[in-house]
Amino acid sequence: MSRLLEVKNLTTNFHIGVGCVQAVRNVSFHLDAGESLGIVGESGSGKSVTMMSIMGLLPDYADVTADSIRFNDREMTKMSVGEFRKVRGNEIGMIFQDPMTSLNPLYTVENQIAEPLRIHRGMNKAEARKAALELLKRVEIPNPEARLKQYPHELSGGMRQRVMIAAAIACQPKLVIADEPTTALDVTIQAQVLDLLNHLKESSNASIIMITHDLGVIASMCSRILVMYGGIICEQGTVREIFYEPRHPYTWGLLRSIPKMTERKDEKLIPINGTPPDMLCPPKGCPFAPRCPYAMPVCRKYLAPNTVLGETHSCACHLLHPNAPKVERGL
Amino acid sequence: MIKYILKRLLAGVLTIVVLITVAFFLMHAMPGSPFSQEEQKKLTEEGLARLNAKYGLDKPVWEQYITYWKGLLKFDFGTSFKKPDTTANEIIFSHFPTSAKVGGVAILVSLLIGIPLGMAAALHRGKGIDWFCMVFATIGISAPVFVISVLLMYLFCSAIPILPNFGLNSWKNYILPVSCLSFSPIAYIARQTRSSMLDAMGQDYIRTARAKGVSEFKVVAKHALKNALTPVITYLGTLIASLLTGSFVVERLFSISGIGRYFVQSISDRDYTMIMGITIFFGIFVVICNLIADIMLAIIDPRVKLTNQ
Repeated sequence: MSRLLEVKNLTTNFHIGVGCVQAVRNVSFHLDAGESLGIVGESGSGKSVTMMSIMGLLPDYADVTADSIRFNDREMTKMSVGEFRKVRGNEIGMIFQDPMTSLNPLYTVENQIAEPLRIHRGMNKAEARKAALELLKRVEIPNPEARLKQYPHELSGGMRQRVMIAAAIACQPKLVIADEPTTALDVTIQAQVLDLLNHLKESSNASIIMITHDLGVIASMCSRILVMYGGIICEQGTVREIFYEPRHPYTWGLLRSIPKMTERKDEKLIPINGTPPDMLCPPKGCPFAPRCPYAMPVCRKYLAPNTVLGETHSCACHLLHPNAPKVERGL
Repeated sequence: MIKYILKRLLAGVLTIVVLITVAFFLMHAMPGSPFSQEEQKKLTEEGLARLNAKYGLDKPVWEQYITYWKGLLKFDFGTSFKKPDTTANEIIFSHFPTSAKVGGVAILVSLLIGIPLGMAAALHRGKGIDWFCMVFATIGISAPVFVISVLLMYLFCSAIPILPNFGLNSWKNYILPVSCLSFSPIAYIARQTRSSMLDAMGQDYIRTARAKGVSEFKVVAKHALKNALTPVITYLGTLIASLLTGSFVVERLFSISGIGRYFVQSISDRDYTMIMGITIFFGIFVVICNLIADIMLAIIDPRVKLTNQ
C-alpha cells in the first residue's frame, strides 16, 4: 500500500497571554491509502489539535512546526495558501464534533453541501444541486429533495451530522478526518452515524482518520490506533496489538476503564487516578508519570524514547528498557 | 408572512392611538397655552376669550380630544395656531423632505463607514485599526451631538473656512450636517459590527467553511458578515426613523429648515395642532421603520420566524 499521509515531528504551541501551551509535541505518524486510523486519548491530549494543525485550521496565535507533512506525495508545509486551499475540502474532507454549530445557520443544506463542489469542481448551480441531491441519498437522508431547501435549524442533530458528512465527502476526498463525529449525538444516532461512516468507507477507497475517546468506536471502525497523552503519542499499533498486547500503562488504564457489558450493576468503574497534565507547564519527563502507578525516578526526568516492538507496534515507555523492572499489567 | 404584516400593522395602529391619547393629554397638562396675555401684551381680555373660543380651547379637554379625533379621521391635522394661514399637513410635507434628504445621506454614510470600520477592527483585533475604532466608538457614543457639531463648525467654518455653515444649496452644504448626524451612528454601528463579527469569526461554521477550502475573502463576506449584520439591522429601524425625522440641534445650528426645528419650536409655542401633527407623523414613521427592519431580519435569518405569537 502507498503512503497517503506522513507526518514527521509535528509540534504545535499556543502563545497565550500567560505563556505557551504545548498542545502537540514532536508527533510523527503515517497513514496508508485506504487505511483507517483511530486516534484516542482523553480531552486535552492533543488529538484534535494534531489534525487541525495538519489542516491549517488553527487560529493565528497557534505556532505549528513540522519537519515534514507529506500528503499524496506533496509536501504540505511548503504549499502556498492557494495550493493548500485546493487540498482542503477537495482531497481532505473533515467532519467536526458538534453538528449543531458546525453548519452555518443562514444557508440552506443545498448551499452548504454544494459549496465544496462549486469551489473545487467548478460546478454551476444546477450541477451542484444534482450532486448535492445524490450526496444526500448517499448519506441516507430520507426525503432528500425537501431537505435540500431546509436550513440547519430545521434538522435534528443526526441529520445535521449526515449533512456535514455529505459536504465532507462531496469531492470524493482521498482522506476523511472525523473529529469525534459522534460525541455530540445520542447513543442510537451514534450507532447510525457510525454505520453510515463504515458503509461509506467500504464503498469508497478513502482513508479515514477517526479522532475519538471512545475505544468502542475505534474497535468497530479502524485498523490501526494511535494512543495520545499530554501532546505525545505514547503507543501505536494495530487494533489487535493495542487491545490484546498493550504495553503502555496509560493504554492499560484506558482499556481497564471501559465499562463491560458483563459487569454487575454494583461494580464500580475503574478510573485512571489523577488529572491530565497542565500543558502550560507540562511535566519534564513522561507526561503520564504523575498518574502512572509504575512510575520510576527516570520517568519524571526524561521523555521515554520510542521503542519499536514490531512492524506496526511501538510504545514510548521507560518500562520497555531492558534494565527496567518487569511489571505485571494490573487488571 | 402577509398575516404577520397585517397583524403588526394593527398593533402599530393601536400604538399610534395610545401615542395620540398620551401626547394629547400631556400636552394640555403642560403649563401655559397657545394664547396668553403675558406673551401677547396687546391682547385684550375679550380678544383672548374669542381666540380661545375660535380654537375650541374653552371647552373641556375630553371634548377637545374628541373634536381632534374627528379631524384626524379625515386625515386633517388641523391649522397651526401660530401660523393661521398654514395647516399642520402643509408644514410637515414641506419641511419633512429637507430633513429626510440630510438624514438619508447620513444613514448611507453611517452604514458605509460604520460596517467596514467594525469589520476591519474585528479582523485585525488588537492592532492599530482596532484601537482607533474602539477609541472612535467611545467618543462617538459618549460625546453629545452639539459638542461634535460646534467643534466641526469651528474647525471647518471658522479656523479653516472651507465649508459653508448654513443652508443646503450645494453638496458642500451637506458635508457638515451629515458628519454631525452620522457621527454617533457610525460609532455605534462600528462597535456593534466589531463585536458581532468577532463572535461570528469564532463560530464552528467558520472552521467548517475553511475546511471546505472556501477562500478567506468568502469566509468573511459570505459566512461571517451575514451572521454579524443581524444586530445591525435591528438597530437600523430605530436609526432610520430618528435620522430621517431630523435633528433639532443640527438643523438649528446649520440653519436647515427641516421638520426637527419646527417640532421643538411648536412645543415652546404651545402650538397644539403642530405638536400633535408632528408627533403622530414621527410615531407612524417609527412603527413602519421597525416593521421593515423586522421583515428584513426575517429574510436574512431563517431562524427568525414571522409567526403570530
